[in-house]
Formats: sequence, C-alpha cells, structure tokens
Amino acid sequence: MSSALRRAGGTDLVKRAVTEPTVRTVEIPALLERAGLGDINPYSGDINEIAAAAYACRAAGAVALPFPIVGQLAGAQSALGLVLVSRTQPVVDHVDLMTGWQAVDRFGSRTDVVGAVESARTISAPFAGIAKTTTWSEGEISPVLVYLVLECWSVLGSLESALALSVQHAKDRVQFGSPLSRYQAIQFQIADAYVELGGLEVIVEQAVASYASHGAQSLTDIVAARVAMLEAAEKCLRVAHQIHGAVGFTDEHDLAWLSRHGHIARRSPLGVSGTLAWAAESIERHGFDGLFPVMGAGRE
Amino acid sequence: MSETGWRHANDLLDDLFPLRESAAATALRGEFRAWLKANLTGRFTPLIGRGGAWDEENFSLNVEWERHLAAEGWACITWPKEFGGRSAGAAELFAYRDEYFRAGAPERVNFLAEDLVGPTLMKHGTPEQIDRFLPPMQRAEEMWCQGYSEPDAGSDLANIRTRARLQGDTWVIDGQKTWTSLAARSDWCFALVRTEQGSARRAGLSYLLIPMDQPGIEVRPIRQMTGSAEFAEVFFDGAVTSAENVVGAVGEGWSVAMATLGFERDWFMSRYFRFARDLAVTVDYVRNTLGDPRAFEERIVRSFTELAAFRAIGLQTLAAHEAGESTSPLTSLTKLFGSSWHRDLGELSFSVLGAAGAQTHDQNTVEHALQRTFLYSRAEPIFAGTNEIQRNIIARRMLELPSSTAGSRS
Ligand SMILES: Cc1cc2nc3c(=O)[nH]c(=O)nc-3n(C[C@H](O)[C@H](O)[C@H](O)COP(=O)(O)OP(=O)(O)OC[C@H]3O[C@@H](n4cnc5c(N)ncnc54)[C@H](O)[C@@H]3O)c2cc1C
Repeated sequence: MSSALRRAGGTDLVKRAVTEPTVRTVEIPALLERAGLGDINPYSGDINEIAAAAYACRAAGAVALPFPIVGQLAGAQSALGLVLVSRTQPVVDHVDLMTGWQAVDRFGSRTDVVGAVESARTISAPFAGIAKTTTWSEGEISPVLVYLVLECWSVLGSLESALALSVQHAKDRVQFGSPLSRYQAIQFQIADAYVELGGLEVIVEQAVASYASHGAQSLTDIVAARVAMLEAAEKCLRVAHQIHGAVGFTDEHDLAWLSRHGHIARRSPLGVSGTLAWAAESIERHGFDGLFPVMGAGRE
Repeated sequence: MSETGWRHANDLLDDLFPLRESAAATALRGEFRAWLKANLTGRFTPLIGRGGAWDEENFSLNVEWERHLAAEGWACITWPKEFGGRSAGAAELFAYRDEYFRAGAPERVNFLAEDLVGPTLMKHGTPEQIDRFLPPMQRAEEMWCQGYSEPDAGSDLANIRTRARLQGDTWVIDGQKTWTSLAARSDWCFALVRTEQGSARRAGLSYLLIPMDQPGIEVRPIRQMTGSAEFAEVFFDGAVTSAENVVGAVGEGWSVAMATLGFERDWFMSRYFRFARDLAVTVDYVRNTLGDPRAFEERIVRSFTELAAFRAIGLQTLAAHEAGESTSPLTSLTKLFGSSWHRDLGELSFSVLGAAGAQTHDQNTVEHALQRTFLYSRAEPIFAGTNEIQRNIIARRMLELPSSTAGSRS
C-alpha cells in the first residue's frame, strides 16, 4: 500500500484534499479498494489479518492520508465503519464521511453516527467535525482495542516520516559550511528520536500480538501502547521541528502536515494524562503481563 | 477569557517573590494601570487578549491602538524624552510591561521599530537618520521589518548573499531575504546586505534602510503552520535606497546588526509577560473547564516554578543592561531558557485541551488561544537564534573555547 500511496502523490493527497473534496470522497476510497483494504478483517483471529491492517494504517499515517482508514478497518464487522469517540466531546476527523457508521466509547458502548453537528475545521484539523449520535447501548470492548491499536500504527507511520524528513534535511541543509548532520547537537537529537521510535515500534508490535492472542484481555497492553505513542509523538515532533528550523514551520512543508495530522488521534478519546490514568486503572483491575507479570486486583 | 485568569499567575508570583520596586516604577505602574483601564475599552475591546502579527483580522486596529498609545505618551517609554519617550529605566519598563499584559492589552506589531531598529539608530545612526526615522517610528506611522535571514543564511547569518552596489547617490539591491516577519505590512526594512564585491563572512556587509513600497521589491507571504501568513519571502530586483540610508560605516554592517540582535534578545525578556499570560490562560482553563485538574498539577507546578526562574533571570539581565554591563551570555541564557519553557508550556496547552482542542475556529475562545500557544511555541526555539546556537554561545563561554561558528547569530 505504501507504494500505491506514493504513486498517488503521497502527502500531496492531503494538501489537495483541502480544496478538492473528491480526493477524500472518490479518489482515496477507490485507491484503498484497489489495494485490497476491504478484504482485511482484523477480527478474524488470525494475527496476519490484524498485522496487515496495522501496516496499512502505518502506510496511511506516513503520508498523513486524509481518510478515516483506522475507522474503516476497525469497522470491518459492522456495515460501514466505526469510530472511537469521547462521549462528552465527540470530535471526529472526517466525520463528514461517516454517516451510517457506528461510534464506540472507550468502554465499548455503541451508537450510530447520524451526521455532523457542526463543522469544526481548524488549521490543525481541517476535516474535523462533531459527531451527531443517537442513543447509546452496551457493546463489546474488542472494537475499542482494534481501533486503538490501529491508531497507534497510523501515528507511528507519521512519526517515521517526520524523522525520515529530518534525517534528509540534516544531510541536505548546509550551515557554516557543513551539513547539519555533522553537528553533534543534531546527531544526538536524531539518535534520541530514533531510539524513541524504535521503542514505540516494538511496543505496538507487542500490542498487536497481545490482541491476537488475548483478545479482550489485551486492554492494558493496548492502552500502554497508546501512552507510549503519545509520548513518542511529543518527543519526535519536537526534534523534527527543531531540526527543520523555520522551514518546518511553514504550511507548505510536509512536516507541518505530518505533525498536525495526528492531533485528534492524540487527544481523543483521551490525551496524555487521561490515557495514563486509564492505563493505571486497567493495570489495577486486570494486572499487566508485559515482560514480567504484575498482579492486579482482578488476578488475585 | 476572563481577565481574572490572566491576573492569577502573576499575582501568585508577586506573592511569592515580591518585587522591591523603585518609587518611580510604582508610580508609573499606577498611572499606566489607570490609563489602560480607561483606554483599553470601546473600539479597542476586540484586541483584548489578542493582537500581534498572527492576528490578521485586527491588524489595522492594532496599529491604531499603538498610535493611540504613542499619542498619549505610552509607547517607546525607554526612549529618551527628546525622541518622544520617557527615558524609563529597567524597573519602570518591567512595571510597564507587567501592567500592559495583565490588562490583556494586545501584542505589539510595531516592536521591530520600537525595540530593535529604533535603539540601533540611537546608537549607530547619524543625526539626520535619527531626525528622519525616529519620530514616525515612535508614532507607529511607519512600520518596520527585519531583513536578515536568507535561504542559505539562517543560523549562519554571515553567509548573506543579497548585495547592494552604490550607483551615484543610490544603493541598488539584488537578492532575496526570507522569513521576514510583517514584510507585507511594512513601510521600511532594515537589512544586512553585502556591499563589497568578493567579500566573505562578516566583512563587507552593510546595514541598509530600504523602503518597501517600490517596483524593485516583491513580497511573497508564506503561510505558517499556525494558519496566518506573518512572514514572507522578499525579492530584491534592482531595488533602491538612497546612499545616506546606511547605518554605521559602509562595510561595517555586521557589528550594527549584532547590536540590533542584542536588543532583540533583550526584547525577548518581554516575552516573560506574554508567557505569564499564556500560563495563566492554561491554568484558568484547567481550573474552570476540566473536571479533574489534578492530572495536570505536576506539570503546572513545574511550569510555574520555571517561570519564576525566568523572571529572576530576566530581571537580572535588565539590571545588568541598565548598569551598562555586558549581558552576554546572559541574553543567550534568557533566550534558551525562555523558549524552551514556552515549548513545554505549548505541549501542556496541547494536553489540557483534550478532544475539545480541535473543535474551534472561533479566534476569541480559550481553546483557540491554547491551540495557538501550542502551534506557535514550535517557533520560539528557532527565531532570534536557535536553541542550538544559544547553547554554542554559552558553552563557548563556559568552556573558554575559541569561536567555532564565527558569523552565527551571536
Ligand atoms: C516565526 C519566525 C519568524 C521569523 N522572523 C524573522 C524576521 O523577521 N527576520 C529575519 O531575518 N529572520 C526571521 N526568522 C528566521 C530566523 O531567524 C531563522 O529561522 C533562524 O535564524 C534559524 O535559521 P533557519 O531557520 O535557516 O535554520 P537553520 O539555521 O538551517 O537550522 C536548522 C537546525 O540546525 C541547527 N544548527 C544550525 N547550525 C548549527 C550548529 N553550528 N550547531 C548545531 N546546530 C546547528 C539549528 O539550531 C536548527 O535546529 C523567523 C523565523 C521564524 C520561525
């Protein structure tokens, strides 16, 4: 899928999507269909299926794809798609494409998305809106888990691209007669970001494996992966912006699109501190295996 | 946004670290507070809590406000009386800025004139230049921009290629500047250009004052990731300025430019007041809007503590400056500390917003202000000398190293 997205213009898709609505309504859906996205079912119980979904999301994140691919994959069981929302603040990216979708909250309760209450577009979230929902009913946790995992992979993809751009920029940009890559202050920042992303990659791989083998029991691992994703995003984007200097602060630069792309994913349904509290709550209740099991109240 | 929110963090700082203010400063504080209360109302109300280069919607009103300040004697207060100022000292300046930001008064768009090129002219300008340029600067009638950076001269400022040659009594300028804040709004540009053919690095540069409204200049605004187009590319193609518009000696522009940069880093101290307001807005949001503020307690306390340190460093810098002592590398320290602090605050603002942060495009909401703080804080460790360049300067001093980056913004 990476190469299909690259052939289709990569980050040009998101830049074009702002003024050309058909990029999101026609072009990208057709492209994803051709790439076989519709055949992936992350709920099949086969680890290869959820891994394929994860890789697709990573590739989409890498170009800041202006399309709710995470929701489309996480909705493989329902008719159209499924989106994870904060029930009190159901701000959703691409909500205009979600009529007929379902929304879940972080406990698995479900409702139908029947439209967007208002368009809430900003520079950081040019395709956002507030989902209009109906009544909520109880549901299962697994769509929440699948959604969260895939979202981590999408953000991972964006961060990897941001780091790749920074590496390239450090090699190309010359100041004081040397490429930036010759300065240790730059090398260290790149190394730190690289370590951060390497760690995140292992953690999100572990989250996929955990879901494949433990299903609903993988909540703690997956929320922990989200914590790691949020922290890595902060650190890596800080480095990427710093290395780019003023050019990364411009709206034309790919970095700006990549760094704004994950804003809603990083805030909804919970941001850093909310997700940390959620992880603590989950460890308390279900314990936490990780490398060395930590017993929680639920496992005594 | 509640005004009380803005006052909150400042009041707390005052309680903890009482200012031992001079009588003159206290008097000025009281007088200015009353003036702001009476004047920052009516048609100027839309500016409260806003203003500055990003606020494109209110730009003309902002200029009007600054003209009003000037007309009433509340602009350029550190300038000598003969140039329309009050000859205010460091303590008075501190009190003045403190009151200004507490009142929610708008960020200034004329600061490049008031704080950078104005003081530079007082130090290096000819009497004719001073007579010609200072009065309209003081009255906010002519706006200024700073033409230093070029595509290949960012941190490495001495790599400037834009060149000017003297033809009769006119400088003819060719080349390109970039990231020029407010270029599209400015009447004049103070620019560092190469005036000696074949010269390199710091030698052979001159500091020119160039009128912006002429056929030889093309300004192409660049949109920032914050959404506004504050800065621009500026192309010079046979642009002209008269021979006498060179500040300092021809070929000696580097030292004049460094004087301006020194003023710029001093100006950076004024960010403290803006920063205090940004923190207060964040604290206010956490207290009033979030169900459970405890989640952010630790980060807020850290932010607050460091802000107090920033204030202390800033006061020390101002005092040193006033006593005529060298403020290097203190200004580098201030810049590094302050911009890093603001970047952390930006990330905190991003965190406290939660899902709501993405949902507003109404520029008058707290959510919008917090989002702006976050996006803008990305630029703080970059402009006016990056964090890495400041670290180089500090390290060089501490470790007694020879200059490794001769010609940087130091
Ligand atoms: C919002 C904004 C407004 C601005 N307004 C103006 C303006 O009005 N007028 C104007 O002239 N300029 C302006 N600038 C430009 C600003 O001065 C430059 O961005 C700054 O000097 C850095 O240059 P650069 O962006 O080219 O980055 P670069 O110099 O290319 O630096 C890129 C990265 O490399 C690092 N680096 C560079 N050299 C070294 C070294 N020797 N050792 C270690 N690390 C190094 C930098 O720290 C940075 O992290 C503005 C910039 C911004 C973001």
